[in-house]
Amino acid sequence: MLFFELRFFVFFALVFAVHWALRRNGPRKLWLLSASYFFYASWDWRFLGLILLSTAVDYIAAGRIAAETREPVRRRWLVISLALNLGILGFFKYFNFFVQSGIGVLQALGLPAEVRELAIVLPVGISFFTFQSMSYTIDVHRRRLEPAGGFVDFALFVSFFPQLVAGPIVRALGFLPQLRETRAFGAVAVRASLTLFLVGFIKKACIADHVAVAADAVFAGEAVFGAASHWLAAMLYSVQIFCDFSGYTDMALGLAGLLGYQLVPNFDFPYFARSIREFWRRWHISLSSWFRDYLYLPLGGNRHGRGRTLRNLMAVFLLCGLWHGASWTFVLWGLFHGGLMLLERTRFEQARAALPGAVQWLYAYGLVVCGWVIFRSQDVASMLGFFAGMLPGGGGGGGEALAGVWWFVLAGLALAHAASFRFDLPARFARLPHVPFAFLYGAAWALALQWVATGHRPFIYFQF
Amino acid sequence: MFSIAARSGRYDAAPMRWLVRSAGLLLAASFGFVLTAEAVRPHVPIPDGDALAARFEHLAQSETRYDVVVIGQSTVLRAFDPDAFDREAAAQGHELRSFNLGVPGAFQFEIDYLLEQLVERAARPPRFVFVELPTRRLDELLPPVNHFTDRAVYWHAPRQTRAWFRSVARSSHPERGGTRRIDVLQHAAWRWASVGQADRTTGHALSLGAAERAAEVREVERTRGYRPFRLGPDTPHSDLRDQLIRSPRWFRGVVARIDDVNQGKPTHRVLDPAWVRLQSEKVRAGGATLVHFITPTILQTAELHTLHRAGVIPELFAFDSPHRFPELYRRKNRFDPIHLNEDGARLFSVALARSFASWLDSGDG
Repeated sequence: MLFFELRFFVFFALVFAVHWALRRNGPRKLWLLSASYFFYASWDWRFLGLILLSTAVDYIAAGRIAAETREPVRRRWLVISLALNLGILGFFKYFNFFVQSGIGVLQALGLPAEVRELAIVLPVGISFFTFQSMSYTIDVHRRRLEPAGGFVDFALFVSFFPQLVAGPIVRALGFLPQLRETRAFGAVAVRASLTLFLVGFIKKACIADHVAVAADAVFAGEAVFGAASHWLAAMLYSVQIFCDFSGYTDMALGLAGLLGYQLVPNFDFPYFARSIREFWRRWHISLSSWFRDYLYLPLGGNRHGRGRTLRNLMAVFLLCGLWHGASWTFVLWGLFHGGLMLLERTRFEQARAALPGAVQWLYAYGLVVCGWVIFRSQDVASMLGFFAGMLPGGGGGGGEALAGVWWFVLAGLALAHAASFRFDLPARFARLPHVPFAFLYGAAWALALQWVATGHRPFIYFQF
Repeated sequence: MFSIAARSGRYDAAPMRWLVRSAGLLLAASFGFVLTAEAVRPHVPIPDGDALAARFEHLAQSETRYDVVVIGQSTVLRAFDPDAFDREAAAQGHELRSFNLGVPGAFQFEIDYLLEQLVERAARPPRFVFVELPTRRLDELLPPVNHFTDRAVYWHAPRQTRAWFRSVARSSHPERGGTRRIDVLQHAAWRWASVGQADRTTGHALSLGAAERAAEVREVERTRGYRPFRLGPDTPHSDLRDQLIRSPRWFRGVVARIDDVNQGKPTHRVLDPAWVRLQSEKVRAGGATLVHFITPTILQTAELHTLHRAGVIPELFAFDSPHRFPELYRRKNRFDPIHLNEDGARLFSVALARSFASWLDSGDG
């Protein structure tokens, strides 16, 4: 059930109507929890057991941790929670990858190795809800958070359907207190929520799915394209992944907003960053802050000298890459960014900061685009082939070219993005008086639907 | 960064006032939506696939009046050879000029829309419109491969969309229940709002690709809309074609049963009699005569014959009998179990011309 399918609109209309018709908070939460489980079961009902297991174990573990004063026992329960979550994640997401990689190593050493892969289906949203659930037990263990008031509260925190399958990764610290209040519909920012949903829809269905056609044509590697087309495709992919993922987030924020809940924003114009450090403060904020708070800082952060900082940074980015998927390209992508983060902690940073703003931007955006090439490539060989194609004279200096219109599309989108940044267009739209807003909102939907790309695709981050 | 901030304070308006206010805003939004969708819809061009846009453009420009325009599915597009038809009609003493307006996979609602468009758009309306009777179920859903495609959009004028939805909503077919009805509703709504057509609408408004289209119109003028399946080294081997090649016994078995099946009782509905009457009125209003026909299909047509015998379908040229038209059912004349190849198309067009000529000679036409 995708956010832009009619069945989802029917589902949400029902959830919305019943949610606000119920006056007491308890039944409302129970209703939202049922709706969330129904939503998740619509992907594959078999994985409901998985999310229930993870929820139940973490709920019990956090309760025991909070009730216990003896540190070894508290730690034991934390380990149980982490082992279960990481075990589920490891099995469903990485089992085949590690088996294949192991076989590859053994075969390279000349040892006979043959193991049959398991036909494992990746449960949708697993990386998101396991991280969310783990953060809860860790925060309770750190005594930063009281355990959830009841099982329903915690289960709803883990499975809240607007952000269940592709984030943002919500922290219990921010979400559980919202569940304790009885929300009033009058306090809901309806126009802002509706605007966010529309903006997300446009980003995903009208922009990301459109530019994907051009990017895919070059990344498929079936025809020989020139260097300019390779760069163009890489930049179009940067547009695609941003609009796809941030589009989903906007829609999630809008839906949650309509139900009276606030989720954390996940993007802050990441392509306007002038350094890689700044990029990670603006891109997938909920994930980067999760890694910072639950991995980088506990490992010591930058407090124990250059060597430890290097190790910590590389560990964080290696895992960040692996979090995205079980493939060597994701590992390389993580290491690429980790390496750049390290570079920006050397003297190079002073030189970079002294550059004119436009050059700094070019540096950051250029490297991010190169990173996306690694991220998008099917395997290391095709990644190397793509990079070779980006070099001057790539594609044999000739070959086919993407239609020139894509350069105009790219320029148009960049201008629209800059205008949105400068003038805060969605916020202005949301502040229109009610009647003009309603009329223009309807008209905007009619126009947006015209621009939906044919052959729509699922959100990229659903696979993570 | 645009995000949602919960507003402070509570909204304490009386429930009735709140409801009226919400209904008013919903109405305003619906008004904005409908107005915009309806404003854009007339500018959405007919699809380019299978040269349909070029064929309509040709019909709109053509100084020559076509005597016969043939509308139907791929079984028409690939099987009606205007040259062969005209030659045979001339041999029978009738100087005719024909045109092929077949669309692959066309539903009867699409066929109905094509008919409307033909009457509206043709510079000189034809004297006779041949409409292939459908063999697809009345409540059939568009296959997923056709979702979000331009050819699935254009026929969704309100009347056709309503009729299609009604037929699915009333369907007793097990696959048409529950969520599939929501699928249909979504499909119809998406199409009514011309979802995904902005690229083409903009391109058309800016006359992008005009040179290619002009070339396509010239090609249509030459072929008169006919697009045969050609056997050759580049012939695509679809599953259907493989079935014909690999299972001759299966095909012979199917063919052997056709006459008996079609003389029997119909097992499912494919045609709404009201549609036949409407089609006839529409064509008559355009100054033409409607003639129905059945291609040499292997699918069940029992209901169509029943309706013909009941007088609901007054004029019917039927070629769905291996007993009467054995050549049309020979494997060598077929591209796959459903479609004729170029030789088969020639034979079919000749047979159609003969039936038509004798009908004209009998004074009924």
